[in-house]
Amino acid sequence: MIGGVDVFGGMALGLSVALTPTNLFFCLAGCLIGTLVGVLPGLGPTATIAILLPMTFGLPPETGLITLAGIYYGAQYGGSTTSILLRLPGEASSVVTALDGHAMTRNGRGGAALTVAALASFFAGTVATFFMAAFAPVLAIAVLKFGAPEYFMLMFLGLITSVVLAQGSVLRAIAMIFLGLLLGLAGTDINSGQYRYDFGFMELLNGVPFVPLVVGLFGVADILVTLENAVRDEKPPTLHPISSLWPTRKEVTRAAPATVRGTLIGLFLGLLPGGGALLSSFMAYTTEKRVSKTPESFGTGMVEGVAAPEAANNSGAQTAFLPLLTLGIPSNAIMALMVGAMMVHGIVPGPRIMTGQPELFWGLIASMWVGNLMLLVINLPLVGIWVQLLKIRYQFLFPTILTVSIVGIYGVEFTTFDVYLTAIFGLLGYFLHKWRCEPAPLILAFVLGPMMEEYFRRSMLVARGDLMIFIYHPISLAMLAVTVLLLLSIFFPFIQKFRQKAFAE
Amino acid sequence: MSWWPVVVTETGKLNVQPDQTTVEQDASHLPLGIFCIVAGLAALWIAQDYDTGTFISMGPGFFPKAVSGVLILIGILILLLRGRDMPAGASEVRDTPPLLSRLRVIGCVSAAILVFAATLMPLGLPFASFLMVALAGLGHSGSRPLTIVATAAVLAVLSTVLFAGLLGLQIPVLPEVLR
Amino acid sequence: MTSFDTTRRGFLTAASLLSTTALLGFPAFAQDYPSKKIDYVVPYNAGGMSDNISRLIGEKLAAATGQQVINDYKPGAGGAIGANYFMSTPADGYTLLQSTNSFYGIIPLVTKVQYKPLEDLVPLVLVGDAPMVIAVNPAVPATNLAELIAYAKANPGALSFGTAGKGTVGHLSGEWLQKRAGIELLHIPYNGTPAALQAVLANEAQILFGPESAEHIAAGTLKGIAVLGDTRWQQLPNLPTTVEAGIEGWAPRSWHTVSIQAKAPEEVKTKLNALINKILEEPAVRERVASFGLIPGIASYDEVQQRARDDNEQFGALIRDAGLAIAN
Repeated sequence: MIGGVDVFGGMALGLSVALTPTNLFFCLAGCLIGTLVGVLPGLGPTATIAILLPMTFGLPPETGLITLAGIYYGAQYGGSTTSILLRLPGEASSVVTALDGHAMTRNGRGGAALTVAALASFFAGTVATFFMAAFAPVLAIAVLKFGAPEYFMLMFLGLITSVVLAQGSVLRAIAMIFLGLLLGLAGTDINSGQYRYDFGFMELLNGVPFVPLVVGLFGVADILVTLENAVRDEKPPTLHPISSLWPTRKEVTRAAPATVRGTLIGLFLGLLPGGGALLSSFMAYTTEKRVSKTPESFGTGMVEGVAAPEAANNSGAQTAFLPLLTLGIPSNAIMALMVGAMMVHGIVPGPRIMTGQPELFWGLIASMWVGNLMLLVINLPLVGIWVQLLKIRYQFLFPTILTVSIVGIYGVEFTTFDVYLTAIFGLLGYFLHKWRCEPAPLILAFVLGPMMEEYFRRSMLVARGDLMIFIYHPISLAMLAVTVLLLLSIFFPFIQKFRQKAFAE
Repeated sequence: MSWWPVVVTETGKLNVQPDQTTVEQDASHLPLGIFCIVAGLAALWIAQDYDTGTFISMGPGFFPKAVSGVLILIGILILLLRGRDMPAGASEVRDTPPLLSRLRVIGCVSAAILVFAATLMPLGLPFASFLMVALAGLGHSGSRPLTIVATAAVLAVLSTVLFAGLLGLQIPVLPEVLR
Repeated sequence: MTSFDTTRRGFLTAASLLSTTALLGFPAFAQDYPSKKIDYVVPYNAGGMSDNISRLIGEKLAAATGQQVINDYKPGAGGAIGANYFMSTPADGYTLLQSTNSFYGIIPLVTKVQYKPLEDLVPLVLVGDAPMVIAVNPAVPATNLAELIAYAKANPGALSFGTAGKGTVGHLSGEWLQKRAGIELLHIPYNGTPAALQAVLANEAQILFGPESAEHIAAGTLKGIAVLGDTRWQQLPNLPTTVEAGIEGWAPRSWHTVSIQAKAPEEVKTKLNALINKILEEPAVRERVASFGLIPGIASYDEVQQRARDDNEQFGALIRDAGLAIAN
């Protein structure tokens, strides 16, 4: 079934579906809408797809899914734009891009950062498409190798790596991690059904909503800090004028290997339902900082810090389709909406899609590549337009950011509760900035914490309380080893120095 | 007693810093440490009703108690280190603007968001956005009133067209009495 | 000041006019129903099963009555936020709630909600049943319910069932099977049905309750054991029911309905039951309901009340046994 002929035959079939004028048109429309909502902070692809879902009911199933998929990865491209230019990530995966992407903007390299992000995403998308086409059935089996102990170790590893994200004090990064863990605890405990930290609000029973947290900590806090600085400086914050929109040769040679590494990380982590896709951009960034000869420069505008997470993010976004198409398991909220879109047409996603609906399976895969190509063509010329945003005077820019974010947040769940929360998190973000803390580790811990607890408790349930389950499972053991090595690499230099000092005395 | 001067080198690794450079005017450790301790204590106090269980068979209270406990310890550590956890280069202290202007910025922007949330249902999207932008605009020193009103009007129209029109979100547009 | 007064007077006049018409119109209310737009509250996110059903019914209801039917999404807390919001709307019959039997049998018993089932909130129709299929990982040496029960008795504690969380229909189905068959199963709650399905495919848990396993049973990646209740499912016609397998009486079930506030005028309830049932009887609509993976059903107003009452009692007993009930 995975013979070479099948893959090429399949891709040929897929391209014949994806390249019909109707499907090309809807793919383009999806990509454009996706880019638009990706650029808007607050309203993300999940809400948009939910809103636009009924419009696709009248279309043939392939066309409908191609449109929705276009919105999905269009939003992945668009999401990085505001992260890089305005330090305004709309979703978890762009939080990392904001670190060095926005630093590049401050250095006048914002255009180049956008170009690199688009090129890295296109490369990753292309590789991911062919990877999926070639190995779909094998990869589906790999997904099932990941049980509770493996997921727990992955989350644990992710949490440890988030310390590496810190640019300032490690102690304060750890404080942010624990604050993020605490925020993540709110809501209904899965194992016992107990409500925790709900303060009597039903809106909190599903946990603290993500978008208000990110927009508050980044967007609103940034507005507060900039306005306050404006009081002192009496002149707008200076950005270096945008130099060339293209990366320099030196930047390209640094970004290229980072893109490849990021793509590979995204390919595998994107496959895992339940948090894998999110981890990929964080892991890619950490990897770059670890392999770099100048890790101290991260956070000051390193092009690798843009290329790797963007590539990981995009290849992960493609492979996230695989559990849905081969096992019928939606790996995130957007994929769950795709299930809804299929069910309306009487298609039940599951193991029989590949054989029963080959034009849908291959058409969707081929359209991913077509969509990525379109996005590149759309986004490269747009870079020139987006950077014009930076020329808008701040007195007009900040109300625009505020309005678009706040209305968008209301549009996600249609509740003003989320808007009030945004104000609270905005204040928290402002004070954290004053206290020299960085929000990125907090966000990662917020997302990973609840899953870590869930997977640990489930591991214990499955193993009937035997801790050795983490060692008996080979994948889990391997990740445990990596985690220990990473911990040692963080703390060993410190111990060594301390011993030297003790000897000297 | 663990209060040795720990800093982070730029490689993100823990390191021991020579004593002479630990002079630090930055006082951010004080509110941060207190915040961590207070948040941890509050979380711990709320969590006392949650069943702890054992490490092997955790109840819903295990994780909350552990996390808030560590947060309290971190807060204490931050207070003890008195800012020596910051990297060497990051100790520049910027003069903060007077308290009144700070309060004005924080007050205006927070109030803007709260007013939007409170007025969206009764007054509809254009009015609520107008009020939000107008209030937030007051937080920007140096904006003229006319500019603020004009910005608010333009953004009220734009947000209505974009969200209620183009994206078709179910947001109330007209004030409640006219619906 | 003067201008303010005029506007206020304007409002007052408009308001009194409105209330007068409302009063005058009241006697002719039921015949005229519906004389204005209907709000349709969906207590889940757009794009899910409840949304699909509400769109199907809403569209047909609008065509049948000539009035607008507008969906209003109030997701959160497993439907409880939407239900509470719904109870805060006027009880004039112009607001409907897309709901399931959980709103009668489970949610009010495990969550604090602002309504009493069947006293404040009543179901209008039966849209369809979601078949609760018992499926097992192929590694489990059992092909029917008797073998599964025998295996579980011979190997106590060896089998576990994965569910979408505590207090879900899947969880209570597992509790019901343990009680009725006299076996012991380990409950492993997951964060949603997809995660539970993945776990049973990977043999982390062995048993799954619900319609989601159908594709995998057809493909042979999971084994079908039985369907809960007394009705076979057209999609898996060879699968026997638990009643056929010898477990008589009520079994946990999941069905979709449209609810209304109990205080709404009786004539409106009867009229809506007739209107929606007429829609549900259309062959095209039945086909759509079946394509959602449901068993289409029809019930009179009284029959559906009885269904909700049965579920309230039976689920209530299971919930109390499982120690999930909250003190109300």
